Amino acid sequence: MRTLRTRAHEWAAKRRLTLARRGTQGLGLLAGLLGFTGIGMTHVIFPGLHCYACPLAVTVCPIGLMQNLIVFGTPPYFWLGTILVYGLLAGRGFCGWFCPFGTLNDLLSFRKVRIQKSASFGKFAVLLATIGAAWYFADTIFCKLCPAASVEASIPYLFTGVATVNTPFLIHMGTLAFVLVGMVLISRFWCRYLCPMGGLLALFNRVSFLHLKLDEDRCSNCAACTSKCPMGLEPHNEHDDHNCIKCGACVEGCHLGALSIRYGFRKKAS
Amino acid sequence: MRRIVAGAIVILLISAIGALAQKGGVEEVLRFTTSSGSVAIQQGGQAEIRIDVANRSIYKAEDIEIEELVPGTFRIAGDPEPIALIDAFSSEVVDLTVEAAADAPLGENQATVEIYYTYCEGELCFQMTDSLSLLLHVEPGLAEQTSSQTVLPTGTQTESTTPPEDPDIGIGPTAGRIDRRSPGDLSGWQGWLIFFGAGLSLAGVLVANGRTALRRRSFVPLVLLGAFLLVGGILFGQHDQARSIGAVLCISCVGIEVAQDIHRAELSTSAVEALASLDEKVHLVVFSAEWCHSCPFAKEMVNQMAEASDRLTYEIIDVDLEPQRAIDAGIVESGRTIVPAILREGSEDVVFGTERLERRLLELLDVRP
Repeated sequence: MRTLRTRAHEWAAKRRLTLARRGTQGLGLLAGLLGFTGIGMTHVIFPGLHCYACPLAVTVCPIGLMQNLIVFGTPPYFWLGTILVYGLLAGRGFCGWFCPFGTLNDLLSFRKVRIQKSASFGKFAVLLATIGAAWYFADTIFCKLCPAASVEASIPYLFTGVATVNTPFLIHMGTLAFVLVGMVLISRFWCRYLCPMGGLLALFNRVSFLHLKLDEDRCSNCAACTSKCPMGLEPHNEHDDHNCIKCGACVEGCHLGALSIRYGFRKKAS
Repeated sequence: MRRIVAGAIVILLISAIGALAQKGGVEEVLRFTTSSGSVAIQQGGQAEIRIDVANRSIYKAEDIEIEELVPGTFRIAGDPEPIALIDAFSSEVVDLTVEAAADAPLGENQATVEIYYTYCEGELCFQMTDSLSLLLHVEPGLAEQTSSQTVLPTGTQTESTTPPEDPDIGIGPTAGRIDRRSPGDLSGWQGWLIFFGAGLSLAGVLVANGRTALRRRSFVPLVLLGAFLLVGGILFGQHDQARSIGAVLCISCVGIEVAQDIHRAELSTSAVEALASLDEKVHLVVFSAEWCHSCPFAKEMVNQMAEASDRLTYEIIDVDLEPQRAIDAGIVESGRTIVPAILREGSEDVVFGTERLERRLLELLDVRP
């Protein structure tokens, strides 16, 4: 009879990627809330969707900064260079492994339904609309609707007495409620269809060091990985898709070891 | 084919972000509109026209003067009072009386108002010239008859005929294009080319490498591109700009409250009466930023309160220019400076934002309406 300890070891061995991911997601949350140390705002752009108005944020939101640069008329060299570096380092891996709002999506991933490919281009539309609105209205319009800002700024400032229950607060709560319901009904709903930061990082998904590797000789096309993918992809067919957040759920789901997470240069597909 | 489309999207997206950012959303400082469509005016008569002047930029506009009307068959009656100052994200109205000559041509006429104003970016000030087109429908009338008529809005808007992104600008004796970029920055087409090049490089890597991408040969140009943009950005001080954008929080900008219009900053009668009972000298410090949407409202409200009571004085601090004052005064909530914030000097009592500002300011002053 196997002991409890042996079972725990087996479980941990099977779930090692999930455990590692929970660790980096925890680090992402910690990086987002380092303000408790009193270090104040830094020059760092956060590699995910994390509101700079959050009372404990020490990093700048890439989408908020992008809008401000458009409003202020600053050519975004620093911003674009940073995004390119993040894109090279992990692409959408930041969505799966680091982003605090991605973590919230992850925790509410109950229904892993198939992705609607056409709707997944919605995040690019949101990104373009964010850029266009910032230019046309000379204002950070996306911030006023952002569900991450709802969680990280509107609610905290309500408790500190800076915010009140007013129209902007209710709009924030409305978008948050919509996105939360979406997350519960469709796993990673925000990351799949609407996140503008996901749209930005998706541009770099195929050139990032962090990537998913498929050993086609081992793959039996059993689709066990498909049932595990929170983004609703078929990893054995779409392991390089712009929607892949490289979370590794499919790697754990594959009993034949055909899928693996790799970091570094890619080899030419055979 | 899909890869080429994806590459094209990358080029377009990165070029668009760069180009729009260079262009800036607030290229025009002031926007002039009139709610009147075609205004009826009799030969030798007069008509009143209301012009809305809105400042959509992050800068203050000063000395706004409406001076000329062309062609000469129309003229501005009287001498319209110049507007001394329009704060960022604020607006004013100007009522013009337009007079038609006795021999003004009958029917639809177009007349153009010349407008002059100044705005400053730090120590650099720009004198701007803009124009607004008016549609005047001249009707027959006796030369000696002077009629005054206000025409109801027709629902159509007549906007400035000068393209907003291309106003004439002069600084000192030299006229030139508006330059809202940091000193030393690449401007115009050179900057746009950089972004186009960045998008092209990235798209090239995506397309050339097929479905599985990053290999050694594509690594070098990408890293060089990233390094070039990062170092360039840091040399231009954009990392400091990023930090300052995060460090000062305009609460109406992130949707914590609605940005208030300066015209709604009208002190109630009961508040004026209550301020008369202020029995001790109080000094308020208003912390604001030039780009903050609600700050003009807060400043105007405090200004009106100071006018209502001799015992109330105030000063305005720009937190971008004097960050230490904000830190010293404790106008920092959870690590970031919040604007607008109004501090009662000598106490730690602060009012953040502009929601129910009159009532909260009266409470700050310990007076009851």
